[in-house]
Amino acid sequence: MEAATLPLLGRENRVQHPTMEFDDFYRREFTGLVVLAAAVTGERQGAEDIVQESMLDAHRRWDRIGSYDSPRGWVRRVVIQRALKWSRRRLNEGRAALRSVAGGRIVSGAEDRRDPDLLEALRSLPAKQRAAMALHYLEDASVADTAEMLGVSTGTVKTHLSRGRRQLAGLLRIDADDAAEDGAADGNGRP
Amino acid sequence: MDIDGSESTMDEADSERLRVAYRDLQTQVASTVDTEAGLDSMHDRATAGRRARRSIAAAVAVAAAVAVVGIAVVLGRSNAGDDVVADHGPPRGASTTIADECSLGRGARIYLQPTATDEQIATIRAALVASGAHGLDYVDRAATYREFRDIFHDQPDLLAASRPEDLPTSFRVSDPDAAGRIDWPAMRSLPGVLRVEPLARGCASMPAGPAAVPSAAASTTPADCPTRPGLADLGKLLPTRFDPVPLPGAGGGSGIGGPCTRHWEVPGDPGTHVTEFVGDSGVTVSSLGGAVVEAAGLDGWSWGHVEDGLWLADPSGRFVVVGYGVDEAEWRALIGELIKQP
Repeated sequence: MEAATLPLLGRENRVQHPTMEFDDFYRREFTGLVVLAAAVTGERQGAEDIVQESMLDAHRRWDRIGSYDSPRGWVRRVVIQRALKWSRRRLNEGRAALRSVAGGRIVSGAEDRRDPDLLEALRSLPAKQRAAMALHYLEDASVADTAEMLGVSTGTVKTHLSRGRRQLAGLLRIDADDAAEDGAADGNGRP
Repeated sequence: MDIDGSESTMDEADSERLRVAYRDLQTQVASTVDTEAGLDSMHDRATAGRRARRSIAAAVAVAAAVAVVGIAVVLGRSNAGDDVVADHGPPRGASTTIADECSLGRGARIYLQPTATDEQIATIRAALVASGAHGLDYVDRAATYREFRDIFHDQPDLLAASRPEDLPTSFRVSDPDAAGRIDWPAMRSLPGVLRVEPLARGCASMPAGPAAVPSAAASTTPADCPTRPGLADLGKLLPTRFDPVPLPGAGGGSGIGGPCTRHWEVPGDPGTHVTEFVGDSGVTVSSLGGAVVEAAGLDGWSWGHVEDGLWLADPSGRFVVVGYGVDEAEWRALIGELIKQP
């Protein structure tokens, strides 16, 4: 999959260009944005809906957005906003209460067990921390760009990244250790 | 290595571990995404959304015009010799007033739902004929659209947003004697009938009918909430039938929307919701803030999109929010979120 390396665009950077075809844009960006939405919400389920709604927003005003220097920058902002809103709703609905952090490990509802390990670990982070981590590690956004995108200070982003990095790395390390132990146990059990 | 250096090295290792994890996530999620199916689905929804927005945009324009001059002027021409057109329409539903029946006795125009079927239209025509309605004209879609274009010739945005199928066709009963023989309550109850409008004011003195304000039973709004003229009854003005509904928890200052909020639904369409902020709800167009992603002017009106629908605002800033394709829980969440905006 194509790495997401396009620069973040502020209003002042929007440059008029010949409009690209929307369908081409959709095909090129949809999957990457679904990954981003999943990384921000911490759940695979719902990520496509978030991106689909955002693409629909772009489609409605494609005459304008299609001429931006980076239509993806616009859609990415909408995806992030929607994903954060989605996370707040999930929290409000009480579904997140099905999960709790116990001793640094996440106890997930049965419906979430199919998610990749990183998503499971991400759900232990606050939503904005997830967003900061996704922009920085998935989208290769700088601290300054991440701060601008989330509407917070660079200091806040650094705090999000520092805490998120340590918690996620710790959880992933535990998972890796568990996997290694399981593998060793399997190996020992075989004739 | 000092402590800072050790931490930095650890951070770098953690960062690398995370980059690998995110790349794995990309691979895993990408393998499950069907882009072409998503694109097809999006185009389907975009087409449906355009249809809904066009219809509502046209409805709002009609509502704005009706608020000023009455629907008979907007979509129906009064017959030559008729002195004055009504400046407010009769109440919907089976209820009637003296003023209503008196006006209709001088001739009437029966507007049909844009979705009315040929069979429904034939049934309505037959009922009118059976009532002895001589001088019956059917104003078809093309004629209605021509009228609409004449009236709004100076509003290209509106014309671009409106299509003939968005507008209600109608029967016109111009013979006063014939109109006086028609059973109007029965006529209004026929499937496919949108509303009935008098062609002329028939009474010297017209007492205020129930259409001036929503009925107490239907409204969730306390009597002391301020109202603005022209849109006192949203359900009357929008050419789609919106019925007022008491949303659980709404009204009385304790639920969503506060005491000066009214909620409406479209019968048979559980996915469409309307919330009307009639007073000091603390919500204004500007306070929608980030929720608004687009706005366009229309003769002093404006509208924009919120996540699950759109909002409409009259020139005074009072506005309504219309949602489609949402269930009640989602709608309550959206309205609740708007209310919380600073």
